[in-house]
Amino acid sequence: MEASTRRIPLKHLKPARPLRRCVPFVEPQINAAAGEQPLMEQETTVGIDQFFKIFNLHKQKKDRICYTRDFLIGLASCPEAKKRPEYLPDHPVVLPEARDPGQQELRVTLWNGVKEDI
Amino acid sequence: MNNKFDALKDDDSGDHEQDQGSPKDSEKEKPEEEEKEQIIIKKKMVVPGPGEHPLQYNYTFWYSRRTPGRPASTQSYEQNIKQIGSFASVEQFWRFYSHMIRPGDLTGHSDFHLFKEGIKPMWEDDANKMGGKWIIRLRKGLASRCWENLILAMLGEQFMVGEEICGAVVSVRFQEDIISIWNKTASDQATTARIRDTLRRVLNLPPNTIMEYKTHTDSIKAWEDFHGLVNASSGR
Repeated sequence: MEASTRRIPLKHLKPARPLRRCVPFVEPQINAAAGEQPLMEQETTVGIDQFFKIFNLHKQKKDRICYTRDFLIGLASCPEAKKRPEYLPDHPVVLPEARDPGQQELRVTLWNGVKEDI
Repeated sequence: MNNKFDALKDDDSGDHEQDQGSPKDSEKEKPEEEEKEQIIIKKKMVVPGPGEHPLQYNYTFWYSRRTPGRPASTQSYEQNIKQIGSFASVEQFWRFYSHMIRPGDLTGHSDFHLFKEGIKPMWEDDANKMGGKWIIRLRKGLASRCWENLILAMLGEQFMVGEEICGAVVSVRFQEDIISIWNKTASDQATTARIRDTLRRVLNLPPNTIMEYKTHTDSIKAWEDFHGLVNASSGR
């Protein structure tokens, strides 16, 4: 198993993306073809409705809420992020007050220093 | 209705004067219970606050610490693990995170877990039972930084493996610290390879860092073997 894991490079995954993007365009055509009914007008409206339904579903799936590390770190210093959570258990690992975000900067430099040693 | 009985029983053992059973007492009891229930419900339904940045998934922070000496059973593991809280937005995440000790400052045999809401940080959970994890062993001093980078990548959906990620763990041990990320399907090699490559990138690890993938079935087996041995030797 280990050997086979190593053999799959990330590049092999890339072609899958355009394929997925094609799906919403293909499916309504199949639906339209399947419903060969006398009323042409109805048929087309249903087709468009379905098209958008399917298209939106796929859009939702694809539109993941992504944030970069820098963006997330940027939000750490806003006042909303330092409030005490409404429900926080009394526990030894829970701090009475929020840690100072300035501490994070200190850690970056410390860690970079450590990294040079490695 | 059982609850009412239990409440009355407790009163009986405590205070004889309330024995005569004035209905007021039981009425008093009820709103309190309802309040408690409401708190539990509130805890379960976390939503992003107005103007906050929503996350793709809700997550829950957990903490566990092994009681020294006693070989843990599965049950006591579940008992030892404590929920810290759940969040649905970036701001809510920072609120919890900034009110928690950093893993590098933890002592003893303890773990922080950050899992998608509804998934218990246990091998036996339905989401985990077919899964596995990437493990990275770190020398002391790196855990806080790596943990932060790991969970920020998870919350920010940087792994790009669909629904596959279950959660992340940082384990503080005697001579080293371990970070790991759990996924649903251990047999999905394209997913595990992508997780590995993303880990390399977001953790900024030196190229010689050893990364190990372990299926949970293997972990369970190893655990059972180990405890089988412990029991056999202690039976001497």
